[in-house]
Amino acid sequence: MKKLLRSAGWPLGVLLAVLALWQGACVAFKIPGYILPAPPAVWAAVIERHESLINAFRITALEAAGGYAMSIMVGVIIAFFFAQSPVIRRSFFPYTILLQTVPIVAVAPLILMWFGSGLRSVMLVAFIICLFPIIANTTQGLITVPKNLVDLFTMSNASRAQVLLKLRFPHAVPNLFVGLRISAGISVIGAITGEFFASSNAVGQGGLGYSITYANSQLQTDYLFALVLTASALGFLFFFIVIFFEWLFLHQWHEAAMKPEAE
Amino acid sequence: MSDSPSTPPFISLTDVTKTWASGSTVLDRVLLTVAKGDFISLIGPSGCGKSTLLKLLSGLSPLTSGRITLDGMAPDAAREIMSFIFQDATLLPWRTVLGNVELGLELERKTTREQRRAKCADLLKLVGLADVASHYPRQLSGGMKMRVSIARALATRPKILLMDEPFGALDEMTRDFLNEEVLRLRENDRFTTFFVTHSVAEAVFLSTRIIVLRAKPGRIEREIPVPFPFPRTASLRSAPEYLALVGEVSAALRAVKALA
Repeated sequence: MKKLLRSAGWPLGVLLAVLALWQGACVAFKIPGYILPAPPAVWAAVIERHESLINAFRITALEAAGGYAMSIMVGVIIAFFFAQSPVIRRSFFPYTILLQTVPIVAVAPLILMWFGSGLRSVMLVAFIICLFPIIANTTQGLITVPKNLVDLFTMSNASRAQVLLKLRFPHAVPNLFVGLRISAGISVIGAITGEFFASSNAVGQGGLGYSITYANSQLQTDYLFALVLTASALGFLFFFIVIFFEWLFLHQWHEAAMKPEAE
Repeated sequence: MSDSPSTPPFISLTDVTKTWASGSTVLDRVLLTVAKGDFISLIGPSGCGKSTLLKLLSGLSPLTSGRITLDGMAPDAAREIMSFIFQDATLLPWRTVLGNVELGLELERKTTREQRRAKCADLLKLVGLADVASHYPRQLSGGMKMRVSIARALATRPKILLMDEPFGALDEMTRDFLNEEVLRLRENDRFTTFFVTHSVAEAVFLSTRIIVLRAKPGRIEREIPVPFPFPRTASLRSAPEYLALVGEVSAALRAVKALA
């Protein structure tokens, strides 16, 4: 715990310094609140509008988590498929790169057109943006099993399914977590981007992304900042949940897994 | 060769040849018969094909020409009665020691989980690993890992054991200790062994016969029987006849190295 406090001390110091600079700049240059609200104004907005912030947080969290969960299931299945043969990989892998290279803001309007607005469309945007890191990293882990381990399974007359489930998949779990970490952060970005285009605009149904466009159009810059803070908090939350599971599954056997606090 | 002429030898290699796709010949018409319970060490300069020979016996690599029969079966069919011990311990890092030892039986799917557990726990007791049964491989020393690897190979009660330089990476004390351990386990199970090594002392200590191979192409150059009776103990290492035989094998090894 002492160690935790000590390691948290430095970033906290940086935070305080930035807040002080921010406050100082607002006062010194007399920046109007609708361009850059001072920290106390942002804090006031957080307190005052906490109900709508929590509501938006819940909606966006649900969308991001839904898309993320789907991307894990579909991504791992696709990686299993890719692990079957180099021919399959060479044939299909270039197309999965499309997932990464086609800008999501260009695809989002299409999704809106095809599937309409609402929770499902936003989840779909988050899903698309999360998919590639899961596929790429899991596939990498599935196909880099040391030759001797494969031979060991062959000597035991292991079936293809046994090799996949008892050798390749466990070997790929550390790689899967690399993908999971990357996708955890971008699932929130995906959900917010999705909401810019395809959020439901019924009262109380808009998430953080929808609220950000609303706050922006109304020049409620303090609320906008509060929303951005909330979105970052959501990203952090997802990331640390993944880190926790990574530690849970890997710390006993994996060399590179995060060391427990005692270290 | 100790078998009577009417019964076919337990293991026979007839004109075993292996050529790489590039056209170079690794093994050239290797002829060998092995009796049940033999402990055969394969020794020779690098490139003599000793490790390749193990791969052929295990069926992990196909023959170019010739024939191998193991207890009347072709190599891939004989996997049921064979275990392979690799140069590194090749343990699954995500499984505990017990989980690793269970692997072979688990993949065979002939036993229930409880039977496996009980069997492997007994085996771990036999090899002195009972108190690390729930440890993960990364918590073990190199020698311990190799013992787990040996226990895993023996869990399926193989009739034939193929060992590819299993103790090459270990320090001498650990190596000597594991040599004695292998002989002790062999007293229980009487598996027939092919053992690839670079260490003459180890080969003499363990084997019933030493096969000296030459390189380019790999061929059997000499066969040296090791007459010392079993059970052998550490004291054999200081016996004059042991040291004399180590000298003889070393000379034979130097001779084949000079050929290449």
